[in-house]
Amino acid sequence: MLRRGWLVAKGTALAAAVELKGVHRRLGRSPALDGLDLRVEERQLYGLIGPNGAGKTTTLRIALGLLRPDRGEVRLLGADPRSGDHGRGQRVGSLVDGPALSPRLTGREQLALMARWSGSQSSEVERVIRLLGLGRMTEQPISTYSSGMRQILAIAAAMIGPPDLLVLDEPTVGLDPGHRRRVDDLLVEHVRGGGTVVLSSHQLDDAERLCTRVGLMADGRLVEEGAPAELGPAAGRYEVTVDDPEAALRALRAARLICWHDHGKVVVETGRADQLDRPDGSAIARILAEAEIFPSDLRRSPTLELAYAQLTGGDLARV
Amino acid sequence: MSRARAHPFAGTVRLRARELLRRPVVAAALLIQSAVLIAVDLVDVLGRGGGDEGRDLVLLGLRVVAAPGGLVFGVLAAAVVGSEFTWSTERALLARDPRRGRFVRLQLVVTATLALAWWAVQSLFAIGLGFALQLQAGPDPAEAWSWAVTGRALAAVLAVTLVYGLVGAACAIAARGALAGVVAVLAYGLLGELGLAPLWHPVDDWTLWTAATRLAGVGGLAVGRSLLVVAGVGVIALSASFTFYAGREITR
Repeated sequence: MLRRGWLVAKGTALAAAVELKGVHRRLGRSPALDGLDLRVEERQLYGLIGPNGAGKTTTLRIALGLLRPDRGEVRLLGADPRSGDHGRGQRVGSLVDGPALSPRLTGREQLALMARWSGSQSSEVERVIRLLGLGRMTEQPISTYSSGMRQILAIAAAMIGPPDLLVLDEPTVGLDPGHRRRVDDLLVEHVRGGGTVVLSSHQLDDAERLCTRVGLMADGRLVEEGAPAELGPAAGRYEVTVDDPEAALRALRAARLICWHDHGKVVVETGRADQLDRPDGSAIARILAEAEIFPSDLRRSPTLELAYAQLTGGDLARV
Repeated sequence: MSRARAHPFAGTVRLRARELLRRPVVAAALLIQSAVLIAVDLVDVLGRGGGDEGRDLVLLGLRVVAAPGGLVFGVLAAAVVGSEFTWSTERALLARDPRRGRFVRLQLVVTATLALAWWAVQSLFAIGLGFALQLQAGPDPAEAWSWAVTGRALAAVLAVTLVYGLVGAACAIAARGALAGVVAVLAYGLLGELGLAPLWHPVDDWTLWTAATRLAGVGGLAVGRSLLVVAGVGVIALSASFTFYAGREITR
């Protein structure tokens, strides 16, 4: 399905799908990107997280060749992002800054237009309509669509190719829960199939669940990067729900684990990501079972929310 | 063996053409131009009498299609190309294929296709209307009809329509918006060519309007100079489109 033969032929398999080195860019008087270094490997589902004005959309625009950096180097699938070589039209699908559609076309015509422009087969139109379950709505003029319908159509247009790389800015904004789940599943399938996804999102729970790697942005820079479970102060924490928290605390402390009671749950600190032999969820469950304590729930603490709160100075309203 | 594939523009232009047929601005421009054509022909017919046999209404109609029709088409082209910016569809297309030159080529091909359709519809209407009114008002249309003269007028109308369209497209590309493009082409046509140029005779001989009128068979400007003006304006419009767009950055 994916056309990465030319990359393999050049001996650069698993190269960076997106690479920005020391990128500076001003928009107006203020710097939007301030020496950004970002590398997204192929076959990653990479999430860019950050408050409004952090530079996420500018990063995606520069990666796609819509904007030029003032300084720094940018590569997209190993090539200049402003070049149309190597089947760029087919290989990179994107949705940046919301849907951009011709209101007088029907949904199907809009998809056909994108297929033609990108040099894709016309059969791609039917494929993405089936993939996203768009059905009869594609026969209606886009001017009659709701904002959610426009969003899902724009995602379908991005998936025409099929592309090796998907660059999506807030892809699930305005979608109903059904379409949101469908898009999430498609992104995961895309990466399992050998593709790459770069997305920006304000949906921290989605990013934590979906992304294989997350970059936290602030003031035009990447301030922290890693697997979602390893980011921020909550990395390596587990939350345990038990009937008797005090008994659980005693058992865990006896096993030399750092833990405390927080809002009816027992929070267990298992250590940093790079720490060897740190206990995981099953080890915690075993320790508790030996003390005849059986948790009704045991899960990793959500990490991104706390990491994000730290990034924004605790002001989640900046999301 | 792989099947030869059509040029990507072929399908893209067909879809754009389908979309244009649904736009009120296209119907409005066609109606305005047709109304002007009918009015001019009727004024000529109603003004006849007292030994005045009037003009050849077919040629008169074609001259009207050249100018002011060309300018009306220029405004339409600016509105059509400008909507790529207004609707931000430019962003979606460039995110897929970032080659600015290819995007401009698409806009110019759409403009040229629309110019061809405009020319065919308006010319057919002008010839049909002129012929029908002439049957009623004389002189004998069979006597007045000349393939050579009408053919030259048709070719002139096509060239002028195309070049006014390119000017409209260039204005929209340079101004990056439908409204701004329309204002720019109107400023060029109404203020520049019809308002200011006649105030200074040497300049008046070098406007697209004057050249269009001459090529359609009116006025005293040399045909060679008229052709030079039409070709020159076309080349300037094409160059301006590519030059203004080459460094285009998408910030919205």
